[in-house]
Parts: sequence; structure tokens; C-alpha cells
Amino acid sequence: MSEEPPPIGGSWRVLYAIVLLNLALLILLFYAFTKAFTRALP
Amino acid sequence: MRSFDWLVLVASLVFIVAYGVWKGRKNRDLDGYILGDQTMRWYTVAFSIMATQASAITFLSTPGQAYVDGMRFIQFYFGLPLAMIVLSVTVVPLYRRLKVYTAYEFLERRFDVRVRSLAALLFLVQRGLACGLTIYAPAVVLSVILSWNLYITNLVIGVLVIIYTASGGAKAVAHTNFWQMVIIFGGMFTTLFVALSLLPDGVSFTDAVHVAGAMGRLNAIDFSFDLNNRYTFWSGLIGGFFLALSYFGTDQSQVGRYLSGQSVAQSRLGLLFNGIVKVPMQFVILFIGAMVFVFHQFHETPIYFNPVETKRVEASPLAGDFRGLQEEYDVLSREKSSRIQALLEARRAGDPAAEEATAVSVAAIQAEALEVRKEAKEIVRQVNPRSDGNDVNYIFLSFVLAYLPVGVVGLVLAMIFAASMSSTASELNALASTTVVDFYKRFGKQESSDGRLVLVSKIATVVWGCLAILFALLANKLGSLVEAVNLLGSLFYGTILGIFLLAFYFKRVGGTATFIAALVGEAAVLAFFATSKISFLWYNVIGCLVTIAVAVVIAEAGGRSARPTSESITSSTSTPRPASRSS
Repeated sequence: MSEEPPPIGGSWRVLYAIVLLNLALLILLFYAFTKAFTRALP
Repeated sequence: MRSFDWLVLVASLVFIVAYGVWKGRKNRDLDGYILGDQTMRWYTVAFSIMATQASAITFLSTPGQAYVDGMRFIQFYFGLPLAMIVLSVTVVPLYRRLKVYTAYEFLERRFDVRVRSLAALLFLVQRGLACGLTIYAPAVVLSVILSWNLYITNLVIGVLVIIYTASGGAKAVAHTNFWQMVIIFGGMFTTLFVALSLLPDGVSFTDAVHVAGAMGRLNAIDFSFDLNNRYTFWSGLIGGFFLALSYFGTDQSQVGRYLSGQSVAQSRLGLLFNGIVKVPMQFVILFIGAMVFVFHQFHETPIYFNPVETKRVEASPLAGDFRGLQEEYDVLSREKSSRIQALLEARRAGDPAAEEATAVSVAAIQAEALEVRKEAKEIVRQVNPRSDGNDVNYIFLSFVLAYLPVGVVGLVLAMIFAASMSSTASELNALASTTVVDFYKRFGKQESSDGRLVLVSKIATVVWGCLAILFALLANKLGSLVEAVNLLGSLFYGTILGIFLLAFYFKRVGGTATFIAALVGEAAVLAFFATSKISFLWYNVIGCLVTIAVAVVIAEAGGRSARPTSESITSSTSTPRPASRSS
């Protein structure tokens, strides 16, 4: 059974990569967000 | 609540119910009723998946969670996008190729009828209970905050959902889910915008973020590896991955959503879209909670957010003590507010030393205020031993009703109803599908006509709806509702996932080994639940791994079976299809 191409995004590999990159980027942003605004108080 | 709010709320409810009944009016057979004739485009599938997962609990409890505990709950969702990819690659094409109505049908092809029935039964038990919670959660909060009658609120939510789900089946569920998600997004962003606009003069958005951070509410990431810490990066990524894999891959309330897609590609894209949008969406909801927290640093705040419990305490002999604590809390709050202003001024002046010193003093007074609030909670528990002293579910709605403008209140309530109804509808549809396909059709009337099967499905929907309402009427004392639902799911999902992973990837393991291993796996999860304090997210991992390990050991010890692998099932045309679709 040949794989049906995605309705948008070109190929499934590209879409999977987008999901992974999106997650990685969000985690990085959240980490930066936590570091920037949360204080290590004594 | 004012008239215009009522208008917005009632108009939304009437639209959803009428639209659902209208869209599902042409169901003639089981394909239409359970799979919506597989006509849904990817965006309808995606919104339906999201609306099914996002219950009212998400919107009532999650902002409150950020208010009291910060944003670390976001980590719970980190495993979800990974699970969406795995499911898109493996499960979606398999289910579609097998032309199943329910995920559990696949298990009979791979193992035997016992394993299929066990997995279907575990689903019915946990989802049947969870469905009651899905109705109860918003009903209890709305009844407390708005003084609505709890029983009537439960009945209204339950009956409205039953009307369009029973009459329209999967088609009604998918199309209403789409519009419910539109209402949810509308309500969510409006609330965020209005909450930010309500910050006091002189306190900018950046100031608010700094205050939230200084007071420990922006703790989105925690990389520590601590099994007893409920929300860390690792528990979210690993435990959350297993939970999402099980929930989206084996829970019929989700499987039914993407099986209604027009094609494998449309179903897959729906899942992947969820993988992209879900984490930011939860971030926004938590961020609303953090901003409500900041707002309360500059406004009078009740020491306890549940007005019913507060009134009960005020009518008790401990009323004087409670009032004293509220006064003490008010004094601390005013002092805290002025220290926060000093912190902001130090920041604006670019004086790091003063900023650090004021931040320390803010943290100190915050700790004092928390101690006072703890004492107040203790009084609540003393006056009403049935209360757990947890008011997290009431924080957000208290803010909405007290401070949001007319119209927006109605929109937020419509959002909460939409979220509750969307999840409940998907759950009822899944419960009915599983009951009919995996039990009624499998063990009873295999040769029933399409018309009869649709009728039985409608009856099953109504019966499960009534049971859910009944459970909702009986449910109470649940702590944070969002955690209660996730905990309940985690008690069963690991075992179910273990069964499905054995089916997919362990070709030597047969039905008997899997059946025994699933019972052992479930016992292990329940034993951990009863005796340990580890975070519930790990139950998913434990249930799954114990089930797989025990099954492999049994198979290796002599119980090997030559049952076909999932791959051979999908490529073979001669495999018996005892309960599959007739197409």
C-alpha cells in the first residue's frame, strides 16, 4: 500500500520534523522563560 | 450573572445541541453512527481530538493549579507530541487497514477474544467513571460559585450531551467538537486579554511577568529526576509519553475521533496538528492562572476561594478564628502589595541589589501569607471533615465572576460548558461503540441489521449517559479535579498500553501470556497506588513495563504461541474477522 502524501506540508518526514522541532523549541523557550523570571532565593 | 451573559451562554448551548442533532440526522448504519462515515477533514479531526481531551476541568482547574503551584504542570504534556508521531506512523494506518470500529477489535485478531474483552472492559470501567467526572467537575464548581443547584447542573450538562450524541453519533460529536473548540479558543484568548488589561495602572505586562517569576509562578521547567515529584521534565516526557500513547492509541474516545477521518492522511494530520498546538495551548491556560495570581497581588483576595465552605465556617463556632485569619491575611496582602511595588521600582531603576533584597522580602511575606492560608484551610477541614481544604478549582471562576465584564462572563461559561460537553460526547460515543461492537455484536447478535445496531448504539449512549450522570451526582471530595481525572486514567492506561505494545512488537507472545500479564500488570499498578507515593504519571510506565515483562517471561518459559504478528494480520486476507466491519 503506497503512502498517501499529507494534505499540507509536502511529506510526512517534514511534518514529523516540524512536530519535533516545535516541541524542542517550546522546551527551550520554557527553559529560558523559567531561567529569566524565576529567582533562586536564599 | 447578568442577562447578556445568560444570552451568550444559552445561545451557545442551543446552537451546539441543534447543530449536533442536524449534522447527525442521516445516520443509517454503524459506519455512520460510530465512524461518521469517515468523511472528516484533518482540521475537524484535529479539533475533535483536542476538544475531546480538553474537558471543562482543563479550564477550571488548570489556571488554579498555576495560581497555587506555578506553571510546572506544562511538563505533563511534553510526551504528547512524540506520541502523536508514533501513532501516526504505526497505529493509524494499521487501524484503517483493518477497518475496525474500535481499537479492541484488533486485539482479537492478534491474540484472542479474552484479551480483547479484558482491554475493552478496562476501558469501559475507567472511561465510564471518568465520564461521570467530566460532567461533575464543572457542575460542582458552577453550583458553588453561582449558587446553582448541583443536581440540576449535572442533569442539564448530561442531558444536553445525551440528546445530540445519542441522535447523531460520531458525526454529531465531530462537528460539534469543532465549534466547541472555536468557542474554547475564543473564550481562552479573550480571558487572557481581559486579565492583562485589568492589571493596575503602572503595572505593565513585563512587570506582571517579573512579579509572577519572583513569586515562583513561572517555574515551567524542572530538570531534576525525582520519582516523587509529580511534574518534572522527565516525568512529563517519559510518563507523559506513555500516557499519551495509551490515551490516544488505545482509548476509544480518541481512536473513534481519528478513525472518522476521510483517509489515513487526514487522520494522521489531525493527530500531528494536536501535537503542535496542545503544548502552547496548555501554556496559555496556565499563563492565565499566573496572571490571575499577579492580579490578586494588587487586589483584595479571599483567604479561601470556595464560598460555600467559607459560609459554613462563618456559621460555625470557629468563625471568629477564621475572621481573625482573614484580617491577618489582608494585612499581609497589603504589605506584600507594597513590597511588590518596591520590587518593580527597583527593577525600573536598574538596581539589582535592591531588586534582590525586595524579592527576598516579597518571598518572605508570601511564605507568611501561605502559612495563614494553611491555617484557614485547616479550619475548613475541621468544620467540614468531608472537605479536603483544596480550593484550586474555584480560583479561576471566582476571578471571572468578580472582575470580568458583562458578555465575557457568559463567553467563559459557554467555554466551560463547551469543554465539558465535547469531552462527554466523545466519551459517550466511545462507550456505546465499545459496548455494541466488542460485547453486544461480538457475543450476542452478530447478524443484527444495520438499523438494529444503530438503535442499540443509541440506547447504549443513553444508558451510559444516565450512568455518567448518576456517578456525577455521587462524586465528591476529589481534590484537584484535573489531577483526579489524570490519576484515574493512569491507573488503567499503562496496562492497556502494555497489551497493545505486545500486540504490535512482540510476535512470540500469545493470548494466554498477554491475558495473565495484563492482570499482573494491573495488580502491580494498584499495589503501587495503595502503598507508594510516587507520581501517578509513573503508573503508566509501571503498568506497561510489568505487563510486557511478565508476558515475555511467560512466553519464553513455554507459553509461546504462533499467533500472527500485527504485520502479518494487516497483509493477510485470510485472517478471520469475527467482529470487523462488513466492508
